[in-house]
Amino acid sequence: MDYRLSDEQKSFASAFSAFVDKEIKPRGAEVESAGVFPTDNYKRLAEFGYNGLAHEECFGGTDVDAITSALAQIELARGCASTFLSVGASVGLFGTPLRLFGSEEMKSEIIPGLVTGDLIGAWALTEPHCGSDAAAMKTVARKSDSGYVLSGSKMFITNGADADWVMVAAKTDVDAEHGGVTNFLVKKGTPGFSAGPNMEKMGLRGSPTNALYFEDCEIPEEWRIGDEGTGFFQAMKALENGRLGMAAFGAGLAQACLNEALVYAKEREAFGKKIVQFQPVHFKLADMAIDADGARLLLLRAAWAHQQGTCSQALYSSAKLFATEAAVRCADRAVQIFGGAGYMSESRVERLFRDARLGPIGEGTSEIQRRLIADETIANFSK
Amino acid sequence: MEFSFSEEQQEFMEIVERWARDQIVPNWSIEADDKGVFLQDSWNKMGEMGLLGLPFPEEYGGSGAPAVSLCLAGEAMGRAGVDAGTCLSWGASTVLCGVPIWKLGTEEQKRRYLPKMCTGEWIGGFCLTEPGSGSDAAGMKTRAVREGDEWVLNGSKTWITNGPNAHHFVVTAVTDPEAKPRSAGISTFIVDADSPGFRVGNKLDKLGHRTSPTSEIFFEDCRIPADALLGPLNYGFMITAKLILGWERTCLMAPALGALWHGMEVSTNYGMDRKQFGRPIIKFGAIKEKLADMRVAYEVSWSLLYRVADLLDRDEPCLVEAAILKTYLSEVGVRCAEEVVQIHGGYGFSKEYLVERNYRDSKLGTIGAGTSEVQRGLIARAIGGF
Repeated sequence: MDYRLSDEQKSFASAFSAFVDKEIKPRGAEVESAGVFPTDNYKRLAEFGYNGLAHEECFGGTDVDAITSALAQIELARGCASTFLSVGASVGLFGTPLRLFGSEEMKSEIIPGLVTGDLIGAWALTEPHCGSDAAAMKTVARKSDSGYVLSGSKMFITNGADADWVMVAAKTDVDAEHGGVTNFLVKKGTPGFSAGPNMEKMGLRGSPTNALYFEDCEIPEEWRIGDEGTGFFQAMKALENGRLGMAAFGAGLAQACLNEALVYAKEREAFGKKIVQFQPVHFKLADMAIDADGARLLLLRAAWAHQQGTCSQALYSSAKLFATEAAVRCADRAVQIFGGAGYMSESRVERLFRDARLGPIGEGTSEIQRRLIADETIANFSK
Repeated sequence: MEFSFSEEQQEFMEIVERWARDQIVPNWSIEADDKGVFLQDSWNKMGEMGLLGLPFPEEYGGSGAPAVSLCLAGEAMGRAGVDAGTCLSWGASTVLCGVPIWKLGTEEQKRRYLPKMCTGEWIGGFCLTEPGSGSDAAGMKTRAVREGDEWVLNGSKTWITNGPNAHHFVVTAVTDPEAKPRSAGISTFIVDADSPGFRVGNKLDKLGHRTSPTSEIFFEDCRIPADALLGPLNYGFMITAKLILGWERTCLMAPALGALWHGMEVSTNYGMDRKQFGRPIIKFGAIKEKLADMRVAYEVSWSLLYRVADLLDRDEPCLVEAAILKTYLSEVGVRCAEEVVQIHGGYGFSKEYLVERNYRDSKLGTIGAGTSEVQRGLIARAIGGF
């Protein structure tokens, strides 16, 4: 048992935290109102080395340990949730399965560009009629002479219209369920592939979301990732990292809410005292601290187990579930502490409140996480 | 970072859990709980097993185990379903009374008390709370005045775990009533239960933890020798408080962590057997959600608990971390125990399935060792710097 961070982990996290405070956090409002892919932040982060943290050195990455990655993700989410989401969707959700399952040719063509910030990726699993029940997807990839022909549509795809490359899950065997899914890379501009306009949404408006359409979209065989029928397994592996990522999103947002509320509560006066002196206010701060601390610690533990290859599904899911719901609770408390000022869009907590709400939905809803956790727990006691 | 136990620790935990299911759990009965009987057989076996002296150095009869191992043993007892009362008496003796003697005691004090505490022959207690001072511990009234070679104590203490059956107590009393802050005028003593002027009040009836006897303690010109002073004069309270708060809020909570696991286990077993609408109730999403919430509560609590234990083993400050752990674990403990009752339905409300007992037992966590309110105040002041 050793809960200490190494010196390298500590110094990296503190340097990156300072970078986020200086370069990313102050641009949060601007990124949100622009409502487009945050290219400048993507490049800045690439320059700092964030984009390559989980990529191999031969492609320009630094391939750091999972705890260092998690620490960096928490900091970025704390600074700007929209940036976190779009950058994560590109270098993580898209980049990680490519790293794990892509051919050397495809990896060397794409990953260096992700690391430098010159290429953007997106991952397309969800469809208009199926989210949690991914195996019910209707997008089909039919074998052709030169490769495959994709038909169907995808929904709620982060970076969908901006991505230079999209990883698309499609059925190669329509009669099979999970075993009929295969992943494909599709390059922006491929005939038959198009994206809808940026969708309007509650929060994370600085991270564009689109529908994608595939109409007899012909792609070469080399763009298939792994063997036919392995797509669902790949998606599940990607979602291990995805859940760690969303846990970091939650831990970072919970911390941001606490930080904002604390500053405000120490300045704001009522009845002749700073409001932080009132127990109902400082108890809320304590609850936020418990949530933020628990979220961070459980994530670091899951990240450590992930690195060891021993992380159970229940632990991935617990980390994601707890952190994202903690962030929603913290955002609610932060708005409450700010009172009327927190309801106004000029306060940062109003944005945090909206941003946090994606957490319990994205990367597997809270309901799906609870089902996974319960099923594994039942199995634990049924041996 | 390394979030795992050594192989020996893992093995130790499994051994304790198996042994507790086999040797300790059967000693409890509904009748014993109703009557509030201290389970002496369990206590003796815990002494033989080495649990009562786990953290103390081998030369005093202990095992020299780290706090992490003490927590592992506590978690194992909770997982096995050992009644929380027995675990509380263990914590009060080994941690609240034993740890201050081990850490602050003179060589004579350690040699006199620790070996018999390790075997279980002597039970220890800790007297801090008074009728008029709970959360505001430094507001205590019990006085200790030096007279020749003796200290003379006057006052009363309440909610004293092991009060009726302990051999000796670590007692806090005011030695300098003018001190500012008040906490800098409070000393700590070891008081034997057979000291003249020491009187045990009636055993107190209570909601849960009924196998752990609780009473008031009265000091009426209670005379103890000068060398009964534990730690430095006037600073014993501050040092002891600082020393044991981390231990108390961690090691005494470890059985509650195990109880979360136990709750999941009995809920799963019951939910598989119990059929309604043609299928086991565990298959219903509503029951699964409860089970999942318990698992998440367990995983978060685990992470928080062993962090404090790790800090204790490194002699690093852990006051805030312990407060976060204690608040979180005690509150999810109550919620989870309630859900376990809910899953068991009418059977859960009856005494038959023990889950009723666990529900009652869970409530002490948010009150003892500093209420949730005191913990939240501590956390907020620490993060807010006010």
